[in-house]
Amino acid sequence: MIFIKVQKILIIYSYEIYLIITYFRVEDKDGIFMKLKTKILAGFLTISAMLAVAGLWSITRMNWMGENVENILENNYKSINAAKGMIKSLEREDSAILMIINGEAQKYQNVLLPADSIFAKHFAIAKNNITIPGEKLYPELKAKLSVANGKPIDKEWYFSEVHESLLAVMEEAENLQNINDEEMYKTAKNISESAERALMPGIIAIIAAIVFSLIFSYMINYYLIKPIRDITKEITKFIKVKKSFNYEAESRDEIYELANSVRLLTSRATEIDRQV
Amino acid sequence: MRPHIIFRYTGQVLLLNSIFLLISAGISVLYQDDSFFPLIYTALIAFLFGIFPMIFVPAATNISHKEGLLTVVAGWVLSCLIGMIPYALWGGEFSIINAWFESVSGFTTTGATVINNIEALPAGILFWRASTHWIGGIGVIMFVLSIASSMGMVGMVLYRSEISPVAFTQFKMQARNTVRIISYVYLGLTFLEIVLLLLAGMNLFDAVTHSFATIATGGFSTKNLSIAYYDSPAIEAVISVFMILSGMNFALIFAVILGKFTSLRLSSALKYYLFSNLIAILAATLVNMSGSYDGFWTSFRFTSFQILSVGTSTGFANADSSIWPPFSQLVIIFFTLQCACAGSTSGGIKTDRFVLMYKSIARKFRQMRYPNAVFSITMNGNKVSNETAEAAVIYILFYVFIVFLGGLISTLFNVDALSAFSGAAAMMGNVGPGLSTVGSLENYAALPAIVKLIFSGIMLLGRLEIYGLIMFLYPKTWIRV
Repeated sequence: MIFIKVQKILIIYSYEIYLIITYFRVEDKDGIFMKLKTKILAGFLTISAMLAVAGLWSITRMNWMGENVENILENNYKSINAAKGMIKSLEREDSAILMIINGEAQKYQNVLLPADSIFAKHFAIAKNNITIPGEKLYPELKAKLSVANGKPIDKEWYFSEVHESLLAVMEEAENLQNINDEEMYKTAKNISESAERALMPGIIAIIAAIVFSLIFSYMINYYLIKPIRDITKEITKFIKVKKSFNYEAESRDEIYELANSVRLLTSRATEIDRQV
Repeated sequence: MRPHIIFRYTGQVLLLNSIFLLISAGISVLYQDDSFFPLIYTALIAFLFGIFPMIFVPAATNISHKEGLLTVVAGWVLSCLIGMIPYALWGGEFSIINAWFESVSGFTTTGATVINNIEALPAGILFWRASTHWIGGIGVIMFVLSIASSMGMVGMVLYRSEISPVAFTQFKMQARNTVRIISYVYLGLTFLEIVLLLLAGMNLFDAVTHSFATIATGGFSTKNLSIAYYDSPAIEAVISVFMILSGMNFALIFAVILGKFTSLRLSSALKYYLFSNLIAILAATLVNMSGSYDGFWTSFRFTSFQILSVGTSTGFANADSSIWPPFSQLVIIFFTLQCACAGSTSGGIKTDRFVLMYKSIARKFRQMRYPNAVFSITMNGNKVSNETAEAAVIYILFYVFIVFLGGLISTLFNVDALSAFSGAAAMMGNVGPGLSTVGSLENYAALPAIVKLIFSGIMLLGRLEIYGLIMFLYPKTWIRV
């Protein structure tokens, strides 16, 4: 993608370099000139080059924004959901352990096992979705949770080891949620700024194109329309009062050739008049 | 007035900018940062705007003084406009106004920044910032003249408009030769400083960017703490020497290189420049010893660097001069107004005008004692016309008035008096740091947007020696030839 863009930029540059070379050749050798068609084409190409690059860039920025929105959904939102799921299942597991301490063994089975399975599911999602640096601590969760497995359940043991461990695991799940929340906010802010910036090349290209159009129309007026008017005036003077054709073209193009031809024509006409 | 002629020659200035933008884009690729597209896009715009008038407008055989002046001013303003585009496109701390301020500050070699975290800027943008200094330092038009050898008389007129009128009398040679001299000295000094900074321990990127900023008497650093970041007496010594050299008339440096030492002896402005800096450094060093620093050498290290930095309109910092005693702060303000020699890249009123003012005052006193006698003012062994001396004094008055007015207007927007006036003086002299909230280790980020715009205008006024910009903005200039 970038290669294609760079290639396009290089093509535009190459064309402009060609124009410079042609221009200097015009200056060096009398008789060879840059045609009006080429000059006008160069003007339009310049405007289109400015707009094309601005357009390309805006498209690139829009793509980037699209990718980032996708990233938010793919990475951060998934992790936040996983963290929420883990916290919820941990709370249930905690309740289940308290149930067994209170002698409600049946309820314990009904709550702990599904909660454990939900935790494992969300844990797997979170583990496979480590996309930002702060998330790398996360795999320690399983190890901490495993402390509770296979131990005889009594209050003292629960409060001295399991409860703290569960709280720690929950804290880490909350951390995971916070990290992803922050990352999501940061990316969203970046996207919002980027949306504003994506307008910038367009705005600059529009301003540049307007300014350029004004300069271009001035050039067309000064080097194309005004000389034609001046030549017409001179021809009219020649016809009406036989004033010799007196016009010097500033540029070396068709106008220069036209002026030379008219000069030749008027001088011959004067000569014929004299002979007659 | 022929606008197409102005388009053609300002176009060449834009082409020059596009070359540096292209180099900056290359740096961006090298460092794999995210400033490539802003830089390459701006390079393309500058290139297209620069090349297009050349397609239509043939080279001029003659150009009026007014057209030359307008070309110079237009070249500067357009460079600033083009220069702000990469900043605005890149984003970060650069709002549109911040981008404009930073660009004007770069091209006018002021070196005042609105960026709090300079180190967060990508290498491409940092290089472009330094490049704006380097281009602006020698003068956009001077650069163009040095590469457009076929301009003939056109070059002479543009050159007259570009260079400080005071310095003009000192270059008694053809414009093309002068341009060549300035270019050689400029390139030579830049290269030499890069080498010495490398030897002093800087990395290549920092050495290049800081050399650009020093020789142009700019002051943009790649570090938030400016030169204080390096905490290296060797680096400070190298930069100090090159700040002094950059504050000297480049024609004099070239004369010295050619072995013509008599030019040095004859130059009153140079003698005054060196002497005033020396006296100020010694006095402020002693005052700062009791107030801010322990020991003579510590005080000398920081005081000399800061005074030279302000006195040459560079604006680098190795210490916070806002905490100095009042005497030293006033010394800083004096040098913010005075700056260095005409014919250098520095801004400010310039020592040449100060010498003329002192001599005018002395002549007035002598005239009062001997009313019938005729006294003339001489400078560098040559007689100076009354008109020139008067113009220098009027310029100083006008200059101070603009500083006062700029400061006064800034205070209307809740800027404290010291920041407003020292800031306005620093902008007018293209120095960079002022005092208080815009001190040597601070920046201009906190100023209201309107004040940033006012200060940008003052920077341009200072760089174009006031009259240039006023003539550019005066509508009748464009109507009557």
